[in-house]
Amino acid sequence: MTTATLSATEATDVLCAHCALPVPDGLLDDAERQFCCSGCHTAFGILHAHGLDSYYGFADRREAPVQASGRSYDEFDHPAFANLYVAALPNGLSRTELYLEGVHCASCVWLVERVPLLVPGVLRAELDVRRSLAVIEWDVATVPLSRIAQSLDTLGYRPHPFRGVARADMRKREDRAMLVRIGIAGAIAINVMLAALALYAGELNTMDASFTRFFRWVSFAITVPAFIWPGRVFFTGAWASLRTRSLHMDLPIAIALAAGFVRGAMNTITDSGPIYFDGLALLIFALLVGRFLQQRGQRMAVDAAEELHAIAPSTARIIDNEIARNVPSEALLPGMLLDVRAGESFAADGIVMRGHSSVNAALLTGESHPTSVSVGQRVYAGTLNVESPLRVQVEQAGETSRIAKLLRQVEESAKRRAPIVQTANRMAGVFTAVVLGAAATTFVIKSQLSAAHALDDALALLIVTCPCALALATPLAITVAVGRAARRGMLIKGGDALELLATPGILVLDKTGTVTEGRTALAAWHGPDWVKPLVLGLEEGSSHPLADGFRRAWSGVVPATVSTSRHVAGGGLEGIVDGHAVRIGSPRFVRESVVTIDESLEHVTHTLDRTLTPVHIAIDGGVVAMAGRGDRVRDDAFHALQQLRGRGWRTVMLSGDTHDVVASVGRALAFEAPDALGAVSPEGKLAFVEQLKATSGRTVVMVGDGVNDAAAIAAAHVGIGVHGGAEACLATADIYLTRPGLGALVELTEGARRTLHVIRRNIALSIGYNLIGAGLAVFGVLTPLIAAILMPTSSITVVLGSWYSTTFARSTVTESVS
Amino acid sequence: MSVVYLVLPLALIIVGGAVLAFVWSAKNGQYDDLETPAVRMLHD
Amino acid sequence: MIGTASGILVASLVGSMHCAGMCGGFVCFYAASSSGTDAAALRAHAMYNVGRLTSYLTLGAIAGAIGAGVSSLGAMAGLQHAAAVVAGVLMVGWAISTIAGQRGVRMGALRAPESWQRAMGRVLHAVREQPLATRAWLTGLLTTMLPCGWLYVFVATAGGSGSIRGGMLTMAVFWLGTVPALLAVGLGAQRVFGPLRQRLPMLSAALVLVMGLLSISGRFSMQHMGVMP
Repeated sequence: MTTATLSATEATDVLCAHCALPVPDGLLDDAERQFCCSGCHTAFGILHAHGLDSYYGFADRREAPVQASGRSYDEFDHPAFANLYVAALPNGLSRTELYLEGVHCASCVWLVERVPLLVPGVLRAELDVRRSLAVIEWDVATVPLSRIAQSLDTLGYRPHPFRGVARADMRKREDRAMLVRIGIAGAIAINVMLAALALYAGELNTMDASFTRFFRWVSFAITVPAFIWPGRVFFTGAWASLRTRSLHMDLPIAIALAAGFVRGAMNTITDSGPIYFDGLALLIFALLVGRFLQQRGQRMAVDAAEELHAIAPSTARIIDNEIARNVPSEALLPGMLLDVRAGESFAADGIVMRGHSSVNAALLTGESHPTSVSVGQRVYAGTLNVESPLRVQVEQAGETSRIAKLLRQVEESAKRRAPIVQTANRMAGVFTAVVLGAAATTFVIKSQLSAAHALDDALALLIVTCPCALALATPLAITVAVGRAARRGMLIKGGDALELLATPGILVLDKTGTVTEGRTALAAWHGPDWVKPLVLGLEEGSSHPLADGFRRAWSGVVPATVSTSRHVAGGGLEGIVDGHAVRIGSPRFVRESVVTIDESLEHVTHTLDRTLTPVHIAIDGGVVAMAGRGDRVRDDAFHALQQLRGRGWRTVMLSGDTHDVVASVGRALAFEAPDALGAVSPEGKLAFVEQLKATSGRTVVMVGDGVNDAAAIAAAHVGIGVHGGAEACLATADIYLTRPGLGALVELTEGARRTLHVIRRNIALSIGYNLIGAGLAVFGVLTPLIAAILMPTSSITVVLGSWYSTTFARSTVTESVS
Repeated sequence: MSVVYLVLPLALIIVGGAVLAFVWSAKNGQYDDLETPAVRMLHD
Repeated sequence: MIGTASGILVASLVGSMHCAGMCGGFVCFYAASSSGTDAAALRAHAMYNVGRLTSYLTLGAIAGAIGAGVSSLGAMAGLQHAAAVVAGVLMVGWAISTIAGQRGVRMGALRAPESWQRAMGRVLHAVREQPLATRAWLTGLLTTMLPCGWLYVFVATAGGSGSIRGGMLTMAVFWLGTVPALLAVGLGAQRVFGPLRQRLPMLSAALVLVMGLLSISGRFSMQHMGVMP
């Protein structure tokens, strides 16, 4: 295109200064403002001359004067900003969404959508009043975004970058549209079936021909909307499949639907032969339901992650020239200063600039104790500010924050994995192709015998065998199972995990935090009870894990009063409690000042479990008690592991802990000696899992809780993260257990086995039904009545079969949060 | 029997009304979250 | 006649995008300062449209009366449906000049005198102090006073009916067609129109051209409409 034609097309695009319609060429003049008609000219004059032009944004709006902040918005031109928030359009333009402050009424729509007039280079500006969201399309070469932002600012709307919420919103809209389609398809299907019922009943008895015709036309009339609205998705899908030259399940479905509809319509008009509308309407409904369930199933994990998302606050208080104001979290930019009060969550990742507080980061790290933060330290979005107010400078916000990245990983892994559903889809596709072939063959052969019935029989075959039950079989069973599992505290991200868990393989378990409780506890105690209050008294002010262990173990004991206490680094505690000199700590430290040792205790020293760290307690110069502190094995571990082994699983334990400790725990839990491995690094765990996968030929399942297990979890066929696990673990695991203990593993494998069984039964049933239907159709004995009975029966069998099979227990686990 | 000619269209109009009501409620987000409201009640 | 009425309605619906553009400012004038509750805003929108209806009906009645006069004069001169012919000529003239303008033919636009503008502005200014509903209603009344070619095409059509009742009916139907667009503006949803806006002037001119020709041939008028056979 030459420059001359360019400017010519631009000239036709002069817009009326008042109503923004194109100005006719004949009315163009030299004036500063152009109008499309004298009415607009007058209206403009009136509004302008009398200070009523508020809607052009030059004067007061809503009694309050417009407050232009006068900011430069330079950051909007930053490449990093463009990366995050600006989309390049195929025609060379750029597009972004801006959240506008102060949008409140219809006039704002007017103002904002005048921006293309005010700022040359802006091609489109649209405002969604409800969400205060403006979509801007502009030419970067002509005008920088900062200039557009400034002009929005002068109009009184402070722009903020916006992203993410739009996506969630879109998903919601999609879901709703899908639901509406299903609802309409269902309503239509039911009504067409009722009409069909009347027709079949009339066929058995004798119905007046005029009524028959009436019912046929009614069926026709109500089926049409089902094709136009809900059924359209299949035709658009088929069209897309044709254009991209890839075989998609929508294609045969669309052919069957179109063929059936055309034939049905012809038969309605000529008043002879079957009309098929009942089958077609039901087919649309069943296929849509199957699709919806499938989408839902794939999103289960994403939804669980969304809930985490909600933990990060949706608005943040920023400090701008010492004035605090609220902005949506999506609008935060690096460099802004946040004010976060005690009890609030951080809205973005950043550096503490002022204040000292403690932060609970359980969400990200699994660490349940608050850690203290002070100036210069980093805090993360979604974590909780516990103690006192902080000023935080934003480093990463929105999509680039740590939590957002984590959620994206979860989302992607959910998208990536669902081969079992794909398999079913492929099967259904193949099946439909076979049916199409059979229908064609039937038509050709039959047309040699009797031309009149050939097309009807072929169509009857097409419709009766349409894979609606088959399409429902797998997603339905998986959805029901995944939903129930979630209520039992097992979040399953993909259908394939269920499939893989159904056959016993090799279960690799991390020790610390998975098989054991993962925290220091008082595991052994040898000594008299009267010592306990003294011990608790001395440990009272201590934050050492051991002190915590004592307190948890002896929650009923009242601590004695302590007069002095001293902490010896690397040794233990000493002090005066209740008039006694008490020492608690490592054997070496305690024995430094000890005179006597009880005979029986000397014996204990040798028999004490070697996996435990020994602690001695001396009172007034004599060792009177010994304790062993260590990581306790979970109560249900032994029972659960035995059950799994009984079902054919091989169990392996890996740990970074010393060989001694691992061997001892392994013996206690009846692991075979070579299957309890100690001193394994994270890389070692990964290598071990990789090697098992390569050599064993069985399903390798990795169960773990920490960052050190994350790589192995990702590498395994199925990765399972256990309760309280860290961020990386949650991100890479296929299944996340939200309740403590290994009992869930037993339930999980058992449920998976039953689910696979239900899927197989569903598929067998639907194929069986279809084969019978196909056989009847080919031999021409398929009356509409039989077709009408067979079609829904197969679907209903599959639905009921999925719902009532006991895959996972249906009750909710309430103790999931501990 | 010819009452069918009157009753059937009438029934279809009612169905249409029900469908419209459903579409309206779905678009309003009534079905977005079917579990929270039930639980929320318990917290109040 | 139903045919005529639906013709006017369709033309009005299509052309109302123009009204949305032009009168939107006034809609915002009352809506912008509303107290904010939905009920109040809705009442204001209703009052605005009632205000427009009031003045449209008045205009329709006046035009119809003039049309009746023209008709009876024509009858004396031996002409049938003279009013419809005159209205048709006006409509065709407007349509042709619009199309010509679109095609780039230069012509002077008729402008309302400055004093007119000032007077209307003063009224709007005075109205500001009134309660919301009153203000909306008065704004609606005033809208009719804008020199809008589109509106006056329909006033001409109203005159073409040759009777006061026919004129009022014409304007009522026209009003009905404009309500959705103006409500959409008030509710902030005018984006609905989107791409159509570019083609609007030509489209509406074409519609008026057809209506005008029909009117000249005597087949487009509200004359026969009504309860009486």
